[in-house]
Amino acid sequence: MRLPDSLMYENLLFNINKSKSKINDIQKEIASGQKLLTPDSDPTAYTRLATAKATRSKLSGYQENIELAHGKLSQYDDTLGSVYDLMLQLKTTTVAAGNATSGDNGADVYKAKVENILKGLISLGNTNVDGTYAFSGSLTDTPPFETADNGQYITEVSYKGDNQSKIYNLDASERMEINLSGREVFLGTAGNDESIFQITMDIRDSISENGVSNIDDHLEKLQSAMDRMLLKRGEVGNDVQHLEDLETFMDTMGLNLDTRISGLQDTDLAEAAVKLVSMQTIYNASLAMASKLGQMSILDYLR
Amino acid sequence: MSFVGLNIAGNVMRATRSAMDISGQNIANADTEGYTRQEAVISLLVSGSSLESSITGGNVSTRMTEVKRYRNELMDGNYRTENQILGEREGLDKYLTEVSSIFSDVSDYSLSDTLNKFWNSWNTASQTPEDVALRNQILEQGKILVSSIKLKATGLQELKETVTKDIYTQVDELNSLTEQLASVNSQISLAYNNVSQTNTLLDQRDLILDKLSKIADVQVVEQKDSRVNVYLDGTPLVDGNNSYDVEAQINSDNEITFVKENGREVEIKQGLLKGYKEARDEYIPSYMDELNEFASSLIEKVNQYHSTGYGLDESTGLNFFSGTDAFDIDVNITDPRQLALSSTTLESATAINLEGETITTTGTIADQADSFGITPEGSGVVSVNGVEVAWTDSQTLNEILDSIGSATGITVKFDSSSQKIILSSPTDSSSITVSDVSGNFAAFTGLAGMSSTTGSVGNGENGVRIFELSTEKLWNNQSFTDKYTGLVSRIGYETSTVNTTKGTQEQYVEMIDEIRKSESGVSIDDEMMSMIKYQTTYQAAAKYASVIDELFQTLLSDFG
Repeated sequence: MRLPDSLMYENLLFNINKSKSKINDIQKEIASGQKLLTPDSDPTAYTRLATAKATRSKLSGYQENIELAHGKLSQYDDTLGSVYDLMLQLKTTTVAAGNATSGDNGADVYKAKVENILKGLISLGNTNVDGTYAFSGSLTDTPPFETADNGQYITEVSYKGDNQSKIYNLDASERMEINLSGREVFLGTAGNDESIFQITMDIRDSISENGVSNIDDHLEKLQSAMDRMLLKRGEVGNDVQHLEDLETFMDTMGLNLDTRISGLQDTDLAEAAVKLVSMQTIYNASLAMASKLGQMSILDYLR
Repeated sequence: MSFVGLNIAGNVMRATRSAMDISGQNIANADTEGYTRQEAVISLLVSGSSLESSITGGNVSTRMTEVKRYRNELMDGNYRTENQILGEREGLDKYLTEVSSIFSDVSDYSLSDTLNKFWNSWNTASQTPEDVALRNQILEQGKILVSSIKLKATGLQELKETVTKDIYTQVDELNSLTEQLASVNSQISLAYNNVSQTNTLLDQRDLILDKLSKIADVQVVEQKDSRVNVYLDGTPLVDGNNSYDVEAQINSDNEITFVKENGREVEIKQGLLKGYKEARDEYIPSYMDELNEFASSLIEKVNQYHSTGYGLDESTGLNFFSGTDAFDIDVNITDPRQLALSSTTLESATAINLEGETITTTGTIADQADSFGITPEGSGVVSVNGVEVAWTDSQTLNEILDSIGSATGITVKFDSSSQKIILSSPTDSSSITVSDVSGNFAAFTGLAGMSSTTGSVGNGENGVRIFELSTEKLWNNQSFTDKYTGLVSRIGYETSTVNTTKGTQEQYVEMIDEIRKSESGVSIDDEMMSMIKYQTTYQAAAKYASVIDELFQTLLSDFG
């Protein structure tokens, strides 16, 4: 085939430009660290990437929720522990007051001691973390327990919160309902008999110079309140265990997703570098060829 | 002895001089666009029949009889047909690549990532709904999302305007080319007998036809006198020495139409103009529609949930987004406390007697996750989604719930641990409307609260419900992310398909062009070789003339 000069140069230029633009693409991949620069470079990978990213993002949301729930439960666990300790102290005090002999003048001291325990319990009930009240259900800006007194002793504790559970979305299908409202923890569900505050106030009011009236009855109510408290702590512990399992599971899942996302979008530097070198070789060769061909001329051979 | 020898030498020298001139012209135009290689055709001059030959007894000489123009007309035709197809692909590819770069969001600030961050901000804020700073995050992410949606929408809109301008420019180019062609036609008819001038005009003619074929699917008819007539969709653009303009107009459907001077609409089926029209009137509007559908569903769905919830300031019924499509979408809420993270869930009744209770209820439940705590009392008729269910005092609560369930298809059950009646719709998008037809409404404190008591601050149920929208399958098993990703990957697929077919067609056209050019292009090597050939012939002829001259000299001096 005849090869006119203009055609030869056109072809040379076309091929040089082609390898130059390929080099440019690889350079962009390396410089940005990303394989998918536009959706048309690999639409299938793009779809997979977007789906993986959305899943990852949602998983992060759930991980955040689990962490929050975990923190909240740990805090409840601490508070319930302190409440239990105070109840234990109340029990000791009650037994001691019951054993007091007449004429000790100790009744007022015991009464004051129980009153302090009551105040301690109320203040635990009004625990406030980061500006939110832990035990007022969903009314987190209201102190859950309000007291009324007769000048000397607290006579009434009323609940101002609600009974709503705090719900954490642990994943798409699982919700953890943390129902530790003040009513549930401190007041119980069976009226005044279960109310820790009422039990404490009753014990206080039963203390006299002659010991404690109906002491067995009081101790029995106190003990069953303490048992309920232990049960609650046990439930909290179970929930914490479940959350920890979930955390581990989600960390693994997150890691898998991260690997997949990275595989889809990140440049494989080693591969890209090798490709770059091979493209450079081709580019160099085509340039060298162009310069060699340009030097060749029939005019050199004609006098 | 006659002067025939000098005659022969003169003829040869004249012919070779002309041939060298033509080689010189070829070399000079080696890089001229559209130039066709020419060659001198030197043939025998048999002067046998002339008076001269009768004297000389039939001598033979040479002369240049023709200037041959190396043109492969079959390949010209092929080139133009394929170039029309290439034009269409190129026009479409040019703008689809632009669309692709508008949607080239693989970075961390892409729309799909912004969307993910937007959903997550609802989740984060809903876990501690009383935190105003976290609520602000929702507003911020909402604004970022809105602006990136708008950016895509206006990007498409602007691109459409650019295509329109490009179409006008190409139509101008088309008209200018047909005008030039008409003028070349008229010059061809005048220069019909001047060989070198005609060849130059033919080159111009062919170059214009090549250019025309890129723009539109024109049909070319060559006349006997080498003039060409050009037709588009059956009507003439160039007829002899006259040309007729085409105009691009925008019709009532906001689509481009091409109209001739005489008002006749012409259809362009190939070429750049077709590609541009496809991009402007088919591809871009369909992407725009899909983006609008995405935006309007986002507005509708988020608002549907948001308006049923309650803000920190007890506001309710507010829309989160304003606007209806990708162009006017905006964040409606300015005060973060108005974000309705709380659902309408009310405090459940603490004591409820399951035996022999009757219920009635009113209000609208937007979602299956809604639940009510109620204190049933009295008797009457309940209407659930328009289906009326009556009950009597003799029924237990569970029996009543069952009868509502079987009459409406809605799952109704009483959850004794939470003391709530749970209504669940079998289809997630339909809402449940509950109202009392007759009966003692006032007794239902929980439901009365639906319209008067607001949600409480610590409840983030509604916000979580909006977060759950992120993976909810709203269209044919597609979530918002799937929907948007679907659009982008469709753009990706279509762009890469057009790009590939364009590349293939480009190579095909290149190949045809190469075959064409291998005949019509100038090769310096060839020209130099013929130059030497003619030079040598010329030198030989000159030598011959001088030898003849010497012979005459000898003859004349010897006899003189």
